[in-house]
Amino acid sequence: MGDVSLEVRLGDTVLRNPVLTASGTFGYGSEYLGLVPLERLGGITVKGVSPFPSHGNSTPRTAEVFAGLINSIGLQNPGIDKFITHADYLPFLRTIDTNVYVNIWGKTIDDYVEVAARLEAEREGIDGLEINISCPNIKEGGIAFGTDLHLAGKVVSAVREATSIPLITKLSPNVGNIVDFAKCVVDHGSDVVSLINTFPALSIDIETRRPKIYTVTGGLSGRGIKPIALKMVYDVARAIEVPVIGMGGIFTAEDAIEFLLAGARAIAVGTAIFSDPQTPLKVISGIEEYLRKHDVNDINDIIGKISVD
Amino acid sequence: MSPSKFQENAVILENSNYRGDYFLITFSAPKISPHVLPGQFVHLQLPHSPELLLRRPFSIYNTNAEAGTLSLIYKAIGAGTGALSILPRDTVVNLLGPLGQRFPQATKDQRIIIAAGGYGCASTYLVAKTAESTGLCLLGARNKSDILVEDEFQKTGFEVQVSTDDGSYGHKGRITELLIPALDAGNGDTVVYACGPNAMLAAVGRLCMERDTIAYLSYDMEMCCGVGACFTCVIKRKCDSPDGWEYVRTCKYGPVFDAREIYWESDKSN
Repeated sequence: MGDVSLEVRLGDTVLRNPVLTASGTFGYGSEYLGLVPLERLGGITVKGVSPFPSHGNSTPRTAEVFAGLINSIGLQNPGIDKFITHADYLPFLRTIDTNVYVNIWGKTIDDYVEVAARLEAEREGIDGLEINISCPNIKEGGIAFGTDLHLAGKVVSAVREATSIPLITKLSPNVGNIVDFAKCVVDHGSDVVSLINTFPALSIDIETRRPKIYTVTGGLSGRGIKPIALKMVYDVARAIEVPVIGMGGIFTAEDAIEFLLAGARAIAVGTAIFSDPQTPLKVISGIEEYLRKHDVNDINDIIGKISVD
Repeated sequence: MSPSKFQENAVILENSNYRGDYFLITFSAPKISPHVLPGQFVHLQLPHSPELLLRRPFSIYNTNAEAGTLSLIYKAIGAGTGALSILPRDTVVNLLGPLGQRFPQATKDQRIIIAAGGYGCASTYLVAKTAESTGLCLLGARNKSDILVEDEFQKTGFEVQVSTDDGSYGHKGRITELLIPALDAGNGDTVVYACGPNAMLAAVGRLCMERDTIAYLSYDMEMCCGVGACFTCVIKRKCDSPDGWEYVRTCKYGPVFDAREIYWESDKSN
């Protein structure tokens, strides 16, 4: 039996396989050094970076719920200066042999532009920027841009002007029609779209009557959101020409294959990493097994190949 | 930074009720065990429990590097520890470890005081076992049945004093009421190692800082990833930022912190 090719293209970049880590769930990569062979991943999407250092939200920040996890970290990050210079961040990411995508965010459009421009000047080792317009856990910025078509278009246009690095826009599921947002960001220069971010959610400790996280509500991820994410990826992939990165509750290769069949060119593993850091690798080998079992030599031959009468 | 961490399918050798709600579990974990340093923890994935998404962190109570084993003491009080408590011998359990920063080692000339509240004894026992000098171990709890591993501490050569909130064993009152005279009896170089509820750690830290005594505090925080990726388990640490503090990840930079590093509520007014 011949070799199976797992390579996929996201715009101008080639991934050795379609399995990425989702932003916010894999730190800056260095945290998993020695535990996960980073060079076997399709790519790493690092935690959101803003122009300024950010404390993030007060604690508690996460709550385990049935079939998922609610988080409200609040995009804590060291800020772009430290991200570029400190050994734990970009300098480390440049030493590893895998694709690197930097998630960026800000409170204003100028903030997004500033981070993008700084990274444009430091683009060695960066394969793409993921514009985060979908974080539900910060008061300013984030999802405000991701739930207003006009603002979403403006952010993406402004970032597009600031950099020629390939752009991914991460979409929020908390909109009337996610397809409209996908089309909008593509029209404004996004090379790829990624979806979905988390759903606003709440969990209450009935003994203390207090919410389980400090900001009362947070974003739900994990197994429970997978069928919804899959439907959104299916809708978006049929509606736009550019590649889609699918994510939301992927825990197994079977989950990932569903996303590929629904039209995702690549997928991201997120919350599952907290349960087992080896999940991305298990997904990669499981996809490979599936392709062999079905006599498919090239992964691209299953992308979007959901069979609908 | 710990020199090495592993992900290992450990095998339960023993998982027995220690007393009341407390359990002692011993694993065969030959990769992790030889590398464990006092104060470090393992991050445990509960098998057969997909609804329990997150791993659970546990301080490592004891190890036997030659036998390749490690032991934990835990209180079966929640969904995770409840599920753990019914796992039989020979069950395979996936562990990440050893994780986190160790309790810094005292020198031969330093006097050691261990202050352990409740199952905080589990994270401090290895300090006593591996110490080059001896000292005093203070065990505090609500009542007699919550005083654990007293004999084991005694076997290390440490003097043991006990306090209970209800007076059912030892001194009636707080562990800090034993700590104050112990600190004041010292003539200089003392190092305090503490683990217990956050309020106890705050009290121990304050008493030690008032006396210019070094205190290493081990924090029990809720965690997700255990390796520094998710930013769940953050704690305020002093730094040069405009606010005077930053959130640092307990799993990566802790769980042990020097009391002088912590940004205390009382630092706000300074």
